[in-house]
Amino acid sequence: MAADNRNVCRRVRRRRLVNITLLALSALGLLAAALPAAAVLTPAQRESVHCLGCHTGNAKHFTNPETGAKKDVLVDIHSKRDSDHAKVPCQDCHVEGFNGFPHEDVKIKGCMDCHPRQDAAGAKEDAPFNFPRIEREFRTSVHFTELKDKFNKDEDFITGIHFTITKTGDGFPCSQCHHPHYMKTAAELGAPGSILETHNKWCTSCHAAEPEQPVNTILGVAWSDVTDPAEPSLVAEHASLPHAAQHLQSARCVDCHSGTEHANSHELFLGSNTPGCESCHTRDSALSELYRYVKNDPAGGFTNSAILKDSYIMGATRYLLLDILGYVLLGGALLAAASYSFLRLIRRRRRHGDRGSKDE
Amino acid sequence: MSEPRPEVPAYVRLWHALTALLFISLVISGFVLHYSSPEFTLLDYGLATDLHDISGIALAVLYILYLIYIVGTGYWREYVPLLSGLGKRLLEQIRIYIADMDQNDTIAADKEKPRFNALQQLTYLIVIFGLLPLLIVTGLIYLYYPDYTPARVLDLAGLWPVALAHYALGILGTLYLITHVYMAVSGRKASARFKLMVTGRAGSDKK
Repeated sequence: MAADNRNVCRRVRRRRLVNITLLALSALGLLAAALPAAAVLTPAQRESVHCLGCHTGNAKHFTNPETGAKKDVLVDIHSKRDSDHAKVPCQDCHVEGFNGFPHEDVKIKGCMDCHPRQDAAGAKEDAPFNFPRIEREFRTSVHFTELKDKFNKDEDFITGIHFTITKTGDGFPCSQCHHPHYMKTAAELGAPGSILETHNKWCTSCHAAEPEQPVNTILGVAWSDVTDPAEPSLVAEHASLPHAAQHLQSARCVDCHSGTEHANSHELFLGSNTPGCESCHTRDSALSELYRYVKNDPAGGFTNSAILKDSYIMGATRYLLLDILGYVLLGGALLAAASYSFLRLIRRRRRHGDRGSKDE
Repeated sequence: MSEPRPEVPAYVRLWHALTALLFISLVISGFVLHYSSPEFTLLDYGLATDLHDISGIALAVLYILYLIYIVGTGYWREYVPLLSGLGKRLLEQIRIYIADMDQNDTIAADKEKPRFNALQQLTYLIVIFGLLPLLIVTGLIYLYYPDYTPARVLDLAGLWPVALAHYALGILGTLYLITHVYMAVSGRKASARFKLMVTGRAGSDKK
């Protein structure tokens, strides 16, 4: 009897164990099925997870054992995942020297090592930017011409356009403005306010009265080579502009200080050598580049109505009906004056002619 | 014989000359500010801006001084037409101008007659007490933007009504300038009215 009872207990326990096991496996299966595909990491992503372990989370500082310089190594992962390089794994750019710690003899790819991309989809995406033209234009700009000796064309893996990034952080790579971790194209930013804020931050991080300490973006090294801070302030530097403060609030630095032929022109003009007021204060305004992702509404009767949502620009945001009225009124007045003068001339000649024949 | 009309007062002639120069400067610089393009510009844009601002402020000061003068001396009455029969006199004057300006363009030398005909009086009244002050006020608001304009009007940048008003008044002012200069050189002698506003004496406009 007792033996029978023990057997029954064993069978019940076994059945219970089987049930629990089956339940657990079913739950795991359901869970796995519910997981989105992205939760399953690719090999490249798994490699990146190794980097994120140190480069995300709580604040961390690395102290260079040789120089004693402190460096912030945190990557803002949320901004990175919101950027144009969201899906680019760390190792695609950080190609050598990063497997071990501390990272030694590192090599990082430059922007031009990938762009323009060679695969069909990437090439199609990169085509509108015209990276060869960007490089040509950059080479004419002061950021290149003033720092020519910092360039080393022989490096295979470089940061920026054929730069050697030295430990002192000299040089002006693409990443000085276009942070590879966080950059977003103007199309991604969309709103003129966001584009303006982002693009101006690139310039004012160095060219301001008290710039945030100019930092080489890659090495995070203080860079003291900036020779053109705005003294005593940006507004004072632009005092030759009427309503200088409004100009600086409403337009990007590059709207005046770069070429107007292309939306992403990298021709940077020195100082006052700018295209001129007429480039914006005209119907075909250069400022419309900032608003290229905002639809114009011709129904309101204004030209450049997208710009008018933020600013009235003399010469650019015109009320067409008033222009036409002006042409008609003033043109009509001149025509009427000319016609009437002609008529009076004829009358006078006739009158003189009549008098002359009467005298005879 | 009726008493000859006194000269056009010196201050009026001076005001007229300065206002004319400033207004021409405003019209030209205003044209540059509104119609320039990288392909075509009559004048450097920055220079046009400074010229327009300085001329506008000078015109505003001159206008206030002139207002004080004409109110103080009573000269403002020259610009006010008699209301009685005004419509009829206006139509008659328009008919005279259209039919044959040469026949009836003698400058009234007699003190008993109004200095200006009804059409002139009405035009000057509108220009001096309507158009000019509105142009000046809208121009000053425009100059001192954004202090005196709302941030937004009809969900657009708030400067647009003032800017449009200033531009429209500028068109009317330019229209007046064209008409005024044309009328000034009309007559048997083109220089007669110019002589009047320079020397102050009517002289003879008969050839």
